[in-house]
Amino acid sequence: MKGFTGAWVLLKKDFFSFYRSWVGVLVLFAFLLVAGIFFTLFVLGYSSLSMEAARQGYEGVGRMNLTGFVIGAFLLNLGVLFLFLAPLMSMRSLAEEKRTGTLELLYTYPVSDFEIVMGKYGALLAQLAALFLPTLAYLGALRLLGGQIDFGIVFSGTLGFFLLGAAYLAMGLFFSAVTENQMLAGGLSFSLLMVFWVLEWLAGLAPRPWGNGLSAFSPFVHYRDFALGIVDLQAVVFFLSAAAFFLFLALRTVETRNWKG
Amino acid sequence: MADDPVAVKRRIGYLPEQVSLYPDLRVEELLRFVAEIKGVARRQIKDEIENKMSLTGVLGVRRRLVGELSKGFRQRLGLAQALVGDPDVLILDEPTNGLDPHQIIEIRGLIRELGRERTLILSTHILPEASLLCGRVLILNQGRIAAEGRPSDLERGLGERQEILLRVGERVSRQEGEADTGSSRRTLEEILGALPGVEWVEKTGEENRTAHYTLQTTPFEDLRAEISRRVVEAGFPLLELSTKRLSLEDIFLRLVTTEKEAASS
Repeated sequence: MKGFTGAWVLLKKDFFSFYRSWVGVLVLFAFLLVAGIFFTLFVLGYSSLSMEAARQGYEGVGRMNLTGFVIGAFLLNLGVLFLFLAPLMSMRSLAEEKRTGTLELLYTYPVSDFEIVMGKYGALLAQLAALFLPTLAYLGALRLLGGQIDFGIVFSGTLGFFLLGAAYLAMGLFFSAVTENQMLAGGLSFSLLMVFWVLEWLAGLAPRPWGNGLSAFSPFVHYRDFALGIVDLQAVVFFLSAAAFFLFLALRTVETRNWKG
Repeated sequence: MADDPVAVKRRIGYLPEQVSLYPDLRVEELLRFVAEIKGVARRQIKDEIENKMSLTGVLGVRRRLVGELSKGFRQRLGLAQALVGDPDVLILDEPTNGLDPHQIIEIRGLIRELGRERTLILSTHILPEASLLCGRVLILNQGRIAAEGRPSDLERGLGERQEILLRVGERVSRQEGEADTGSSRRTLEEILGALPGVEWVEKTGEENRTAHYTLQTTPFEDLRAEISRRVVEAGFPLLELSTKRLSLEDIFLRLVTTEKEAASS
């Protein structure tokens, strides 16, 4: 593991630095606030729905899936929320180091470009985990309310959220490598994420073969399966290859400094 | 360097002219980060950091954020980060730039200490600093070495390349019976260019049957006598021979003025 010492050291530094910046605090605050609101709304929605169903004498009340309703909807909405947060989290990563010149000094240390990109990316993934893991406490809250938890959905949804986040953050890291203006980096990655978001609607409007092709590239079409408890290998491959693609581009962008002489 | 940059970088400590350090870390944290990334053994990190902080005199600000440090302390911290891990080669780019006189004296003392134990490459345009601290000096002008040698030699003007200006008349045709050395068929440029110690010869002008040549000799050579002999031997009347010395100050001024021109344009 000697080759990854540099990446690990960089990961630690970036991770803790993130929470010393206003962006880090803002992202954490916004995520936890909005996640809390979503969760509360879905729990209330479920309880009124199930009450209504019971009053109407609907036989299927017992089969209604609490986890599917609350957690599934919760995760889907976190996916949308992360569309806004991923650019904020990743925009600083390389752009800020380029602007302030600290990257130049980093180049003089015994770390390879690959380690730099992996360290930066690792820090982003760690930040993603730090955002998401506290929301698992909501499961405990559901349990306290007396609900049955379907851990299959919890598992697939968590996996899906991390895969989605990993792809978004890799894209954000790439844009951060392209420019030294972090606002521009954030704007670019947000724009591209929007394009991918809209793909799903376009897919519905487009004639059949086109629509299928478009929806194959829509992160949300893939993500929805996870939130419903389905782990589709195709979706896993989609997110992982998207992440690998943008990491490769980011690495190439970092390496281009060697060509300029 | 191109084959294994990481291995080479492991042996180099570098202080850039404009040192940019992570402003959101504390002094200690920054040095710990540098020590870890340079691969200092985990058990030695604490000692290493303490050692370099006391060496560069930043112990007093160890808990301060890097972004809040004064220019002088930031420069010392820059030196400290270059020193972490005891690299074999230390490269310092204008280490005293922007410091007050008191700080300059301290940093210079520190640099002299450091240079005793390792290879130290110092880049500066302050000539006294170079002669004070360095064992060997290279003067670069527009990317080319303009002078090199020990500072004392440079100050005596020995280490510089000399430019020699020649003015010669028309070639006199040889008398019958005189030994033909073969030189009569060669041009003056060829003859002088073949002399050991001559780096280049160039015909720089021609007027009223006289020709001007400029040639440059390598350092530590005085070729004037040899040159005049060769010129006459080849059948050219030597009308003038003069040297144009590039003094340290000349070279330095040349550097500074081109820098200024570049800045103003």
